[in-house]
Amino acid sequence: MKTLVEFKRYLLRNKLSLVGFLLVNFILLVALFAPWIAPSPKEGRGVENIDHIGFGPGWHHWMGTDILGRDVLSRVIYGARPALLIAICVVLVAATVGTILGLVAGYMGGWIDEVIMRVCDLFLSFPPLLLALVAVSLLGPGLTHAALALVISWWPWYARLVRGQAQSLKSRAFVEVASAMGVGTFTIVRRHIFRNVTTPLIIQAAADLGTVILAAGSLAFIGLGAQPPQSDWGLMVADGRGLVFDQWWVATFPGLAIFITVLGFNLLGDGMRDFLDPRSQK
Amino acid sequence: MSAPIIRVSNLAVDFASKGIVVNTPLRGVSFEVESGKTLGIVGETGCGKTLTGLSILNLLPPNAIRRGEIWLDGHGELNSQNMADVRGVQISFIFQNPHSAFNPVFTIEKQLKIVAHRQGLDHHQGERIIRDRLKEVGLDDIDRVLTSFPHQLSGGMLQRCMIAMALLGTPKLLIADEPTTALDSTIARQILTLIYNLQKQYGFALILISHDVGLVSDIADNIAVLYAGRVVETGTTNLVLSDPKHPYTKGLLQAIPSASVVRGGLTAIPGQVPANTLTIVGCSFASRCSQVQASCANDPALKEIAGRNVACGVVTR
Amino acid sequence: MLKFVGKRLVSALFVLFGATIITFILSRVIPSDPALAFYGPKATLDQSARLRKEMGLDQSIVIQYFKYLKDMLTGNWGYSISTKQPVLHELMTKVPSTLEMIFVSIIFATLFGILLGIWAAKNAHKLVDGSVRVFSIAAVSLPTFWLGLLFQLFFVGRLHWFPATGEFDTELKFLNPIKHVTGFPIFDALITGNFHAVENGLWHMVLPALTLSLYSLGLISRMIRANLLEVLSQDYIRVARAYGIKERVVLFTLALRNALPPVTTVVGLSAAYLLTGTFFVEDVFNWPGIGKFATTALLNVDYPAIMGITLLGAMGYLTINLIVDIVQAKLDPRVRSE
Repeated sequence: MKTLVEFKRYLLRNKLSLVGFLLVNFILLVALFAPWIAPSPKEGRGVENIDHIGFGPGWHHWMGTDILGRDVLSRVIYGARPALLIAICVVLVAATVGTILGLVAGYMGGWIDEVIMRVCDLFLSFPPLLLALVAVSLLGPGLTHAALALVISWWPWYARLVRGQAQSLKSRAFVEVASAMGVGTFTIVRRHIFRNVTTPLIIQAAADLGTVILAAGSLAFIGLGAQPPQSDWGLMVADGRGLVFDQWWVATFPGLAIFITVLGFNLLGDGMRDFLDPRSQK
Repeated sequence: MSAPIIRVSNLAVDFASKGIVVNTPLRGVSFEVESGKTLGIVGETGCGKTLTGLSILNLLPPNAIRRGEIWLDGHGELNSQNMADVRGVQISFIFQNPHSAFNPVFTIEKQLKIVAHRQGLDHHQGERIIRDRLKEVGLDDIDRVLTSFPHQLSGGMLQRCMIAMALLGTPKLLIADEPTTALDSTIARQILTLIYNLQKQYGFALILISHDVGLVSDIADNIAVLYAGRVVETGTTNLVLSDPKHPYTKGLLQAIPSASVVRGGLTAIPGQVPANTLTIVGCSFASRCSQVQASCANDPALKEIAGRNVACGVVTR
Repeated sequence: MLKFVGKRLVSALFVLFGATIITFILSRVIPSDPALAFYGPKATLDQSARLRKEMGLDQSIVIQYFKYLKDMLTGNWGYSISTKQPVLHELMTKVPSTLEMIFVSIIFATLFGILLGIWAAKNAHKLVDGSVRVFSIAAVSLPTFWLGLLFQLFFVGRLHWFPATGEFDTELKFLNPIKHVTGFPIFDALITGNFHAVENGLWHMVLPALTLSLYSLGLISRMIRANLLEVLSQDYIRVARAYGIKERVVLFTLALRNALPPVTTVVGLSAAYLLTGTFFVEDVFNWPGIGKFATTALLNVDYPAIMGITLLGAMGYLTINLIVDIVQAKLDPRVRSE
């Protein structure tokens, strides 16, 4: 693994990755300090303000107000919270589940491998996101269910990735030597195999963070994700779609927030891949 | 003695990054080759052999800058304008790895035809010449070879196809860059013999680039020993190999298991070729040389010693 | 080649068989009482028991599965709870409109993706290259549903260039009705010579197809660029240059042909993204296809419809993968002889 110092040097040389890094940190700070930044924390939490319905962007409401008179800026700021939360949770859980199953399959081999990988194939025989949509529909809408549904459709990618790596590492000399020296299976997997799959794992996870935010936003947009009155970007775009020709700001700004956040994660993820795996740079 | 086909003088290559020269892997190489003769260019990996070959045809990567002069019989000075007429017609190139030298998604026939078309041959002429050349390079089942994709043929067969491709035109000069390194030793011998016989038949000049002095000595008339981007010793093969003068040439010969010219066992030259020539002060070989003296702090020029040219400040006769 | 296709076809059928296991589990395990779902909360115990018997829910799970499999094979995909129509019929009437949009999108994305990729690779590490890189990363970062709204806001609301929603103008039904031949509306209009309808349909198609294709465009252009650069550094390209082959031939014939096989994988992947992407685009543009039907079904927990859509989705996905495998084998002789 390369050091943080080297990563800093890389960021300074690669402007696009630096932009991504700064955007992600900016969004993180916004999410963390939402109650202090938001002009109206109460409205940011979803409390309506019927005296202010339909205000366009202006001095008092930089991004205007929505159908229930809430300050759009405050809601966009609060919306960073569910977006980041779901991205981090889904990637973390999916990566953990996938890694464990992938390691077991790759290292054990035999029928265990066969069973785990066939189950993976089953999950991967549907177009991306379809299984998540179905699962959240059957589980019932909501942020937690959306997260769960996304985990269900995401873990097989990690399992497949880790299994492939583990399998190729298993036959490498240093693992065989350790095995011959009587080092325990758990220690080998932890010390030799897991440590060597972390790089591809990090590359994959960094790339997935943005995609999960997009997916969660899509679920919320069709009404299967976060529910009103929660301030969620996808939901807010859905709120504004009916009045896109009259009050364009209601849908535009939350969507812009999704775009910028995902862009930040994708730029950073792209940079991480170049940094950790220089061969891909070509 | 006939006139030279190609004359290379002070050929140098700079690698630049953002307009700044970061390395000069080739630092002024000069030689000439006569029609029907063979020049062997030898040296260790990283001494600039391959670059010499590539820079004759200006096949260098975009960050490389070529300096020096290349004169080709009938074309004069080679520059970016007349280079297009020369490539593949006057000068042909044979590459090291036949498996990567052929495009994996096209049949051999298609690839040969593209080159034949480039020679200005029409469809029928092209087909006839392709078949003739494939026969001449010793391939039997020509129909099968033509319809094959590169991965379906062996390295030896592919290298024969490559030689056939090189002779689709009527080259005055053939540059063979390690043509046998990727092959089994028995096949390598056959390929070398083939090139030798074809040279006798067609009369092209040959530049044979190899790290294997033993191999080169079999067919080369003259030899140039390259070190750190420079010729350190050059002369007729017989003279240079039977009585090497430059300490590097001596070391190189001692490192060959099969070389019968030198007694006293196998010895490796300590150290490595300097990776970046910009760091060199004085003689480039000084850091690895057993005969190093104070005068080695000066950069030695090629001068004639005992019938050949040597770039060494210590050796005098 | 035929053997290759046959082998892939068999393995695709196996995967499809597996997919039915998942849809079966979802359809039988998750809704605890189908009677409740079918008759609503006012279902009587008697109704429930009868329905359970009718649906074979009192039998063992294995028998139920084989019955389900038989139903799927014989086209008995159940009835949609919200429209009370046979699911298969609903799907079949809506598939053509969606396929037409996916077709237009994938053609657009592939064509322009390849052009952008070549342009970037030719100018590697220069300004053009950097701009294409930013564009392609931005393209895969855009929420489809929001992009659709923006397009509506700008091209419809401000510029009045395109119609906001729908597949055809409503008047078209009365003025130039499309004769039903294959069920694909624009295609039918084209072969029956109804050019007014073709023009009208394409006009409606522009914004949704553009929205849908941008993600794929980003993916494909980056992949082409990376592959082309990789290929251009290969020995055989150097050989071609050493033999004086014209740069145009080197780039467009020799190099591009090598960069294409991996790109078919990405085109396939994008097509798969488009399958679910249509859900959101059709929702925004009120397109009468599978996607619109699907979002409604998902929201209403219309599970026979959901199961049908899932199975259809799996079939579509497998078909795409099959096509990708075959195209790849056609383009790369090494894959063929595996």
